[in-house]
Formats: sequence, C-alpha cells, structure tokens
Amino acid sequence: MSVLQLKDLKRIYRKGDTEVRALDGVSMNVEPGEFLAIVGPSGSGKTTLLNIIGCLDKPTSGEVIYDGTPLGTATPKQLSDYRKDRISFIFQSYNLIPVLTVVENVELPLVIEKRHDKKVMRAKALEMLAAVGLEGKEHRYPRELSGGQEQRVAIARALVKEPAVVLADEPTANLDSRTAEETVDLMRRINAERGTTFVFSTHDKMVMEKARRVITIRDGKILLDEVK
Amino acid sequence: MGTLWKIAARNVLRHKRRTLITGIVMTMGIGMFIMMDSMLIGMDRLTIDNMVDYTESFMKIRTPEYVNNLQGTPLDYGIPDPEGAMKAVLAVDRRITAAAPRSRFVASVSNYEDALPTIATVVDPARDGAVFQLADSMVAGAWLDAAGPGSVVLGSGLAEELSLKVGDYVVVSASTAYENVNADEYLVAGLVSSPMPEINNGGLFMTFAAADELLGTSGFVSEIVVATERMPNLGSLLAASSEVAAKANKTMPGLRVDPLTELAKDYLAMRAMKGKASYFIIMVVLLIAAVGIVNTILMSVYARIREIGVLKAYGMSPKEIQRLFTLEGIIIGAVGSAGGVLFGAALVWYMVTTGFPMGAIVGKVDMGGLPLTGTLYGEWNPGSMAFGFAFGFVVAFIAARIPAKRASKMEVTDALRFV
Repeated sequence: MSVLQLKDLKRIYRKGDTEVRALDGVSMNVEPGEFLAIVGPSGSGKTTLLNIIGCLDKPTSGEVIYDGTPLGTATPKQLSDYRKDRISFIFQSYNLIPVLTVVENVELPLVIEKRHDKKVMRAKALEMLAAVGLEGKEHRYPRELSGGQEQRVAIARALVKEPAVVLADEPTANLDSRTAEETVDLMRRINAERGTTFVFSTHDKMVMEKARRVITIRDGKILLDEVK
Repeated sequence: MGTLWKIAARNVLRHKRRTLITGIVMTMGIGMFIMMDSMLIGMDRLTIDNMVDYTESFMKIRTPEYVNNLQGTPLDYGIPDPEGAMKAVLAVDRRITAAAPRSRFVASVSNYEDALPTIATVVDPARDGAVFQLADSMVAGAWLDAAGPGSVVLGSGLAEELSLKVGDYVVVSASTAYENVNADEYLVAGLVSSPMPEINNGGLFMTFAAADELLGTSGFVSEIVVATERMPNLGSLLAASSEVAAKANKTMPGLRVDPLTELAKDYLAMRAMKGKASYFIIMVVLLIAAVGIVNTILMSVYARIREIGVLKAYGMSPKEIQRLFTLEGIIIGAVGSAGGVLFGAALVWYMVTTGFPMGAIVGKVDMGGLPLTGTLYGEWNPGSMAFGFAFGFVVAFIAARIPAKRASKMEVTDALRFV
C-alpha cells in the first residue's frame, strides 16, 4: 500500500484580486522506501506541495491520504498529532534550536512525542548521531558546528522518531557542493539501510541525479514523473 | 517539562543583555517601590514622633468638658486632681514612663512696640522634660527650670518676628480667670527651635507659678501629657496608644483619655490621602517595569519565530509553545522580583540605619506647616516586600502570556518562512 496518496490537489491563494494557483490538480502516490525529488523552478509549487504533504497546510480541494487514512477532514490538532507521529522535516536552514546541544536537539522530537523515558530517548539520539557520523559532537551547541554538520544533526533529528516520511525542503541549498553531496549520500544510505521514505524538493542537479524518482512540477502541475 | 525549562532558562541566559536590561528595570522599579514605601512610612513615623515629642505626647488626659470647649482654650474645666490622675495613669500600663501637667491660654506677646497673639503653654519644667524634648531644643538661653521666676521661653521664630533675644523683656497679656485682662513683664530666658513650626512661630512657655500670678488661677491644669517607651514602628505606636488609652479610660472616671490616633487625626487623614497619591506614582513605576517585561518577551518571540515553526512542525502543541514562553517570563519575573526585593531591602537598610537628613532634602522649602524636619529614617515593611515580589512575578507572568499566546497561534508555514 502507498504510504502517501495525493488526489487532485489544488491550492489556491488570493493576492488582492488575483488568484494564485500554487497547486493545480496534483495527483501522485509515494511508495514506502522511496527516495523522491520534487524539482521545478521557483514559484512552481514545490514548497506548497511539501507543506501539504507535511500537514503544515491544507489543500483548497483534493485529498491527502496517509497509509490509507484520508486527512481531508482532520482538525489542526489531528494534523499536529499526525505530524508528531508520522512525519519529520529537514529544513533548508537546518533550524536547530540554538540553546540545545546536538544530542538535545536530536532528542527533541521524542520529547514532543512523549512516548519514551529519558534513557531510551538519549540512547536513540546517540544511535542516530552515530548513524550520521557525529559521534563525539553530542554536547556541542549548533553554533560550534559547520553547516554540513548542522544539516547532519537536522537529519538525525528527523530520523530519530522513525517516521513514515521525511520531508526536506531544499536540504542542500545552504551547503557547498561537496558537503551537499555528502549530505545527499547520507540520506540515501539511511534510505537504503532503514527503508525510510524521503521526499525532498531541490534545484540542485547533483541531488536530482541521486534521486531514484524525480517529479518535475511547473505552474502547480506535474510535468514529468521519472523513475530511474 | 524538563526540556521546556531547559530551553526557557537557556534562552533567558542566552540573551544576556536583553535579560539584564529587563532585570534591571524590574529591580529598579520594585526596589524603588519598596524604598518609597519605607520612606513614606518613615516620614509618617517622623511626623508622628515629632508630634509625640513636642506637642501631643503619647496620649492626653483632659476632662470631657474641656475637650468640648477646646477651641476657646478656656481657663475652666480643669482636671480636679492632677497629681492623683498622674499617679493613676502611671499605673495603667508598664510601658508608660512619665506624665506631666500642662495648661494653655490665649495670650498676646509684646516687645513694647509690636504685639503678636499666641497660645501660651504652662508647664512644670522638670516633669515636662520627661515627656517632651523642648529642653533639648534650646537654641539660646535656658529651659524654664534653670531660669529664674518671671521668665518665659519663646519659639525662635516668634522671637525673630518681634526682634527679641535672650535677656530682653516682653509683656504678656491675657484674660484672667475673672475675665479681666492682666499683663506682666517677663524676661526672655531662652529660645526654642523644634521640628514643629507651631512651636517655633508661636511658642510661649511659662511655669505654673508665673501663670497663676498672671491669670489668677491656682495650679489650673487643663491636660496631662503622657510619655511611653519607644515603639519599634509606627503601627505599634498607634496601636499601643489606642490600647493604653482604652485601658486608662476605664480606670479614670470623669476624665477623657485621647490616644494619638485622636490627637493626630487630621494628619492621619491627610496621610491616607497622601498614601493613595504616592501609591499611584509607585504603580506607574511598576507599570514601566511591566512594559519592559512585555517588550523583552515580545522580542524573544520575534527573534525565535522560525524556532516556533520548527517546534510546531514537530508536533509541539500550542499550549506547550505558550508554556515555553511563559516559563521564560516567569524566570525573568522571579529573578527580577528577587533582585528588586534585595535592592529595596538594601535601600531600606540604609534608610533604617543611617537615614536622610530632612534639611538636606527639603531645605528651607515650606512644607505647608508639616512637622517634617530632623533625620528621616525608613521603616521595615515586609508587606511591601511581599507585594513588590508578587507584583513583579504576576506582571511578568501576564506580560509573557500575551506574546506567548501570539506565538502559539502562528501558522507553521508563516513561522518557517519568517526571516
């Protein structure tokens, strides 16, 4: 069964008297363990699509179905709970909490989830940090890390609660090309080893080349859906 | 909750300058409130102490008829057995240390050229010194017990008005007990300068022997003034005065014993009005501190909008977001309030131990006849410290709630887009 189904999604904004069709009838399925890139020029609707997939925004019409459960009538609280349980995010500018150490940042989703005791949370966080190659940096603060290291922490934070889907909005946009490649390789390795589904938006050709499926959108519509 | 506390506490510490400024505003506001409260109580204490030490005493014993005719300052309705009354009042309460007889009459003082009306006070010089501090307030010459017969002591202001000095002679005229006018010549034996303007500007003191001769009376005593041991604060002084007067009223039939609360009722009424105005000013100071807290938390919210977006994206509930920012306010509130109480306590300690010379503060400014000179000492008031702390804490809590609520209601997408 598809982990995620999108059916005829439309998202229409109003800017004064103008109607902006950010998404205009997007339909697609995402299977478990996919490593999927959404590409397209600025303003094509990539971020809007990711926001709707991430339950951060609601479509004007159409259906979002996670694991067979339609979320069309979900309340904001239900969407928030769904995010807490099933979805993780990796942001372009990492967005780590500056006053928390690396390990505390990674623990944060588990703290919000409130499902495990302290020891379990710490053990899971340390395991994830080891998986992203940040052993020994557990007690550093984000300001003491390089951009690449910060993004690795963000990846560890996204993966620690073992989500069904990890959504990443241009995760390499703030990194130099070498660090960007290392970061995508890391995401691919985790995808391969753990079977975590990744959906990410990008402009970067290198990242597109490493994706196993690339969906190109333009003007809020899917232009191309390629599986490599 | 542990992680929320951690984030809140570390954020407070992270923005040191901002936290410091708010903390200082709160510390100053609350500290000044505590000090001003202490100073106001101290001013009241000083004023009441001056009344006790120079004009009113701890309580007064008079006949009810004399009190009813007080405005006329009559030479009737005196205390029938002053010695017995003094003995009786000394036995009423062990806190009473002395009692002295007094009487008053309307007089005119003349330097042979000009005359001024005044209320003369008749005293027993030795016993009066055990109740009042006039003998210690002589600026020239001597108090009556060291002066010879036919002498008077004048207030320094009155003497200046009539261009008199020690050794000069004055004519004092007054209505006698037989309702005719008599006058006599007196040597100015001393000049008194006290914290009480009414004494300085109109004080005329003479002995019972001199008054009897002038007025045709025979040891007429209109009031007995009473001294007590020093009370630790104004509240206990007023309470003790009322309590002792009530006891004395029961044991002294035919006489009326008025406590300080009655003798100083005009001032106490004015004090209540003054208190309201002062607290309004203090509230404005505290309000400024409150604005500082709101500003700090608001700045904290705006500086961390993306952080809020991340927390919400990961499923943190609006209530938890609210709690996070409220905790920051509570931490700032608790630290600022504690600092304010400590700062206030330090100021009060200085006020209590060293005090301020009122002359240096007020100078020669006319305080509208208020008896407010000497050294102003503060008074400890644990109530104002508790209020200051609670106010700071509650204001910080409320001030943090407003931006915290706003933060919790932000859309995740808007928060994440925020630059």
